[in-house]
Amino acid sequence: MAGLMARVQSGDREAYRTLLDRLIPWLRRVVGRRLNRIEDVEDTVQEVLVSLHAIRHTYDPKRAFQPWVMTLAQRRIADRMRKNYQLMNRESPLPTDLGDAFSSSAANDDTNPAIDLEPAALTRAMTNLSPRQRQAVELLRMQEMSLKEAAAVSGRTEASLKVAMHRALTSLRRAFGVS
Amino acid sequence: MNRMSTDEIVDHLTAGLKPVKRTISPILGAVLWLTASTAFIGALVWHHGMRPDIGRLLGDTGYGTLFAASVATAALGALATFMVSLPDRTSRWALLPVPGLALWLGGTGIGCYSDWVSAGPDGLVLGTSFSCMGWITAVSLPPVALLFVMIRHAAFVRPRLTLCLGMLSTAALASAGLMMFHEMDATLMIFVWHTLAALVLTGLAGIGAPIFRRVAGAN
Repeated sequence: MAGLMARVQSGDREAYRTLLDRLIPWLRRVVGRRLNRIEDVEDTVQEVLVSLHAIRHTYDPKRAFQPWVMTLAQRRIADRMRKNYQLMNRESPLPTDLGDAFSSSAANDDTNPAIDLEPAALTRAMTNLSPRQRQAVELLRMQEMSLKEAAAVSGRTEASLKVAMHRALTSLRRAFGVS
Repeated sequence: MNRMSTDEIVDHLTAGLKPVKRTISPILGAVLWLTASTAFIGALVWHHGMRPDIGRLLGDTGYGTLFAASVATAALGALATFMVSLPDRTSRWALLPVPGLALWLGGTGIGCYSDWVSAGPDGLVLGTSFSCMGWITAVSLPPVALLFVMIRHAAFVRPRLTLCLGMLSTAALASAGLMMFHEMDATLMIFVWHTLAALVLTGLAGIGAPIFRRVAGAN
């Protein structure tokens, strides 16, 4: 794979696809040994791919490829485990009697109606955004990517994504009547 | 919300692939960074003027050893920083500056002890020298900024370890520069404050790792 990676560094897309196609099943096995949930495995594999893409210039083709990518996999697995652990500490179990929870006064407080966030309303507001703004919202908010990841998958600069995101939010706020 | 599938990620990544310039070797990186940082700190020392008794002091075993120890910590720390920033190098490179650091900390400890033996508890009156800490912090900033740019890929690899090593190396270099011109009555005070400054800055670097990750786009 070292040869393929060297071609990737020189911009060979064919070699990149071949490399990733060979790498992904191996990554799924490596990540799957440490993480149980299938969605965690897939998310982590994707994060390894984005990391590989972001720092592909640091690979030295004279050295073995597997230890290079293995460290990236281990780091992303550790990140995922940390994230899951933090999430676990933030979540509280659902009350055993759901009837009480849904009928409590706090759950039925209409004095401060929330903004209309019906999926249909959001979809309508999204269609009014420009394609670049829509892509920024989809990547940065809906798929919760970092700027770097979003820039990598969209081929746009981080600055352009930031500007588009800011404009999209302004436009969405206006659509929902929030100043 | 629908997340992107792995196939879609692969499509996006391959479609957006651009040629990249390979990063320089870690040894060359460390040499370049040390050269630039030494030139910067050297210019400051030259501008300020060296202390007149520097020749005699560097000949003194204690002072000379501590100066050599901080330079060694800086050099070995720089190499370790560039090494651990790469995914295919072992994190055991982080142990490289340990001998220099041990000599530095040991020398400071021995200085404290000998003052205590010769003058009793009164020999350990340290006083405060926040100017030392301030100088080391201020002087460290440009070299650290350069280091961040050179090793920003470490945000995806070992951000905390790399930052701590980089900060240790920079503080050690700044401390060596300060020893060239800072005139103080109590030599011990210099050692203790330099060491403290280096350790505090190294600790702060560890705390700042999440910011580094965000700035470098790894979060």
